[in-house]
Amino acid sequence: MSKKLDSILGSVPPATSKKPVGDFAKNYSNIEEEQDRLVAVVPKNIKRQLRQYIVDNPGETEKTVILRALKTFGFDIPDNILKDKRGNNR
Amino acid sequence: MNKVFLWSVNMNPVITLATSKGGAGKSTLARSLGGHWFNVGMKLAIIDADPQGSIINKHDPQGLMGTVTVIADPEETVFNTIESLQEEYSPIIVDTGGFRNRTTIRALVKSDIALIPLKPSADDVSSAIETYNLIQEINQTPERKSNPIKYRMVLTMTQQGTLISKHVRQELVDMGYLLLRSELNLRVSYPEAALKGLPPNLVEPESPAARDISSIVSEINSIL
Repeated sequence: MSKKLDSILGSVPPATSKKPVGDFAKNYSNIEEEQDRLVAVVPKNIKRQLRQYIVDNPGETEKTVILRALKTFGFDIPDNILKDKRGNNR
Repeated sequence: MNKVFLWSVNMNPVITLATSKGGAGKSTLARSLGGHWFNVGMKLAIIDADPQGSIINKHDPQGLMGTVTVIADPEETVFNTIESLQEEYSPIIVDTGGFRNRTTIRALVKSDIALIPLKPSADDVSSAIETYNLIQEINQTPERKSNPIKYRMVLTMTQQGTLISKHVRQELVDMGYLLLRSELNLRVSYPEAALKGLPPNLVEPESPAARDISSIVSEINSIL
């Protein structure tokens, strides 16, 4: 492939987002302790649906549902953080 | 009909439908062209390179167009997919996503002609021009400099007797862009047939829509 074509390709996004977004997974082991808070204001109806989903699906939390959703968008999220670790102590 | 009669120079043409705007009629035109060439006995293939999968999702392998090869490849591998299909199929129609993306560029690099559908609206016109500029950019690469991609804009969803399509056509011609004379007129038979994943020219081969499509194909043949 010529440099010129490579440069045109590099200026636009891929058609699909299957590839990992960012280097999150690569660096995940280093940033495991560096947790941060994510806040989103959503319609009450969405929140209600989310709560109901969690009730219907034992083991799921708001965090795991959101991470699972992000994964479908191509974010590279390791499977081990898709489980609620708090469940082990209950 | 003999394909040699249709394409004496390029035996396995690749025709890509591209514009950076959704809803301009890419999939409708792709499906309709496919219907035409299927009707005349060509062994064609359609590549659905649009991540939305408008064609592949409605394709019924048991239906009227069931024997047509339809492949979904919205990835950059579309380049190789076209290459491998070219050995067996002619023509190859590629439907692309309605936004600037690498898959569309990869498909364009392998194309003989790019059709840029546009409705007679300001948004569609600017997207069509943007796509034209992209094609010109690709034509400057070593891959296509000696054999530039041909292109034509195609007016879609036009209403006969209205001034807007005439106006848009005239503006584009005055600016030096190439348009097909034939248009894909607004007809209810397109969405009706699309419910079953079919083009109107397959459901009703003698219909006005079929005549529109046939006229578009004649122009494409003369360019190829």
